Amino acid sequence: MKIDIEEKLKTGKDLQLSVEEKTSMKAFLLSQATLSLNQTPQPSPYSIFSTWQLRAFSGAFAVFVIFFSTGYLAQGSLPGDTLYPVKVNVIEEIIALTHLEPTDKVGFEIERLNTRLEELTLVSANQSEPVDLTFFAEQVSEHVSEAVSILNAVENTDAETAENKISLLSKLNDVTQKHEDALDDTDANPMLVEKIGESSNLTETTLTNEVDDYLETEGPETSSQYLSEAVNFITDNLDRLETSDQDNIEKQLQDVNEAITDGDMAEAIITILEAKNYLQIDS
Amino acid sequence: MNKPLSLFENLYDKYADGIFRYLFFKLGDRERAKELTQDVFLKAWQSLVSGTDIKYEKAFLYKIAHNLFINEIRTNRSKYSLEEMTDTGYEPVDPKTNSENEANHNELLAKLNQINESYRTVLIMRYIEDLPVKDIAVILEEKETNISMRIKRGLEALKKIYETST
Repeated sequence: MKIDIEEKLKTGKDLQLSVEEKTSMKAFLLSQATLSLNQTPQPSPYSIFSTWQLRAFSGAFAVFVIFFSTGYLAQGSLPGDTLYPVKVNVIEEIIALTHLEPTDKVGFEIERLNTRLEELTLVSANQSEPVDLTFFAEQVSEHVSEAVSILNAVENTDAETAENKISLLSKLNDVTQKHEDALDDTDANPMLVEKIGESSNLTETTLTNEVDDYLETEGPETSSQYLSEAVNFITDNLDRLETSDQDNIEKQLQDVNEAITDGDMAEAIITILEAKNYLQIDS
Repeated sequence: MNKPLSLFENLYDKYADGIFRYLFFKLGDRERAKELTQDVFLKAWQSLVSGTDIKYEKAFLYKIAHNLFINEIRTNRSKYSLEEMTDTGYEPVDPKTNSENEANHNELLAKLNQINESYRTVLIMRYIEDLPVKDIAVILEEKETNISMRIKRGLEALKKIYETST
């Protein structure tokens, strides 16, 4: 028997409050509303502070000013500066606490990696004497492993969750690759190169495994649909880019087509996600 | 009559049933849905008197309802956990129904409870509340393409559940 699911859902439209329920609720709401309109504001009983309260407030204000001025100065610090560990270990960790959902947490770790990348570029461009990048390298490594472990802990309850995961992993992979590329242009120390290389391998392997799992679990129909929606998204937004960037994306779309022709859906998905990242960064 | 008060009364007359319906199908608890409907309108009133610019009243009210629902789930997580409900022999509404409509609502609620929360939300908004995809995207603060995709998948998931039960 063919089931018309939309009709089944529409049966829910009949549900409503009874006349009594609706009338009594309305009476209550209107009484509350009228009451609030007639209320006059009461003067605060705490308008005059005692001396000890003023001292406590002044002390708290001084701590507040010192804390935030240090934070403000630390924000612009670079690897090798005295305040750099304050920026990474205190300020960013406090901001990290405001991200509660796994996807937000990973998004924030990706943002931190982008900040590290900008710092690396600035240090490479401005350094007049060698800078110890050990602390910096450890931070990059920590951001990557933190993001990967958060994503590994998320269970693939449905296709959308799995798709969000591979999209975030692709962004993570993208930024670690950029770190690697940035190091190719500098005389970076071997320890830094090794740490970034390890992080890059970790994101690449995790992404490949996650895409394989997605294809196996969701099957060809869902994954083809996902792929075609990604292609549509890219082609719809292509005209927003400069001609040279359009050429790059079109090349990636050709690679996707070739991968599909070769029956390599995993490669097709990874490439389309790269193109999406490129488009989103550029836009 | 006072202008905000008459505006508020109109809002209530127009949307009370819809907001109640949305909350009922999300919570599966008629009494709690009624209480939250009342809270939605109290919050709407506070916004009205504080001078908030309400561009589109329907989306505005459903957004309040959706936020209150999320808050309700966070504070009473165990009460609304599907596993918990099943373990304790949960019945969505009074099983001794005596009208065809109520039986339909019970059946629909039971089936909706078996699909993913994010699918359930968009299906209720789209097909029971007749909200266009664009408005759902505004209420849930997501892209329209994501909402359309979720509706499509939600319909498929719900269809599977109906098929396996017949």
